[in-house]
Amino acid sequence: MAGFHLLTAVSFMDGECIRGRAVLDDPSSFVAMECLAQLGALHVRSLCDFSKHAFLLKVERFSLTGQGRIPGKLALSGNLVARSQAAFSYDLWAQGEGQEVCSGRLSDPRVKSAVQRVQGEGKEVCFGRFVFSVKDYDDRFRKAILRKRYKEIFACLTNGSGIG
Amino acid sequence: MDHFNRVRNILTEILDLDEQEISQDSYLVRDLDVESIDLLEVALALSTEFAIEVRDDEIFLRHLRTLIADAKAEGVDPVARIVETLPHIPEKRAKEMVADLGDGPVLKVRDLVDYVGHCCR
Repeated sequence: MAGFHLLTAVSFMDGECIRGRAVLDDPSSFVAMECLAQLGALHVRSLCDFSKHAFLLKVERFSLTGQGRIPGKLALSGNLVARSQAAFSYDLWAQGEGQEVCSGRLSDPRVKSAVQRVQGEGKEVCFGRFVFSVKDYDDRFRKAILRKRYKEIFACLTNGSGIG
Repeated sequence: MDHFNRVRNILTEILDLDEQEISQDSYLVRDLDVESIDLLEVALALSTEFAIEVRDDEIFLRHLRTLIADAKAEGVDPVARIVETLPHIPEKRAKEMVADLGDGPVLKVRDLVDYVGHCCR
């Protein structure tokens, strides 16, 4: 996929959570943060059936753990914690790939417990609360181009190949 | 804690205001200088605090002017149309809104309180 796309796959998604992966050539905290933002925005777009333009409104908090070292391969997770029609709040975090301890639906008590444990123990590489918003497509963000584009990206990421 | 106090707590935190500055009759835009970006955060916070699905268009009266204009064009009482379309708005408050519309955005803190009260029934 051309352009500034850091995600390499989406491994699981439902209405309340999304899991994905990223491979970074130049791992840094800023790039890890961008990975999380891209994962959350993708979930928002999917929830809106790609009929709205999604954008990052605010990073409420963001913390690095694990001595600040960012691995090149990241397992990314996001849980939708609150939403309205136009705003979506997520807990998003990254772990080193292969070190993740949870996947699946947050409504599964085992998953929820694992998520809480990971966050409590600081096993994540980075963790943040991100707020996204959506707006109607317009002259600047054109529906005819962007809706198709994001649907294609989503299809590539969920089919496991990451190839568009 | 009653609904008003919980809504006020949210507003004080997001808008960085003191409790004393916010009453049921405070206008969000005219008195509290709320901007559209703040409303997004308010909607999320209300959704979390009251475990409700917040519909931004309804709680923030986004289509109120259109609603009133359409009612007038159709020969329908605007107050009746507001109450019918936005069931959290009491008739008395709808009358106030129609009379008050010329002075600017009419959304008050009490409208948010009425909305969460309606959703929590």
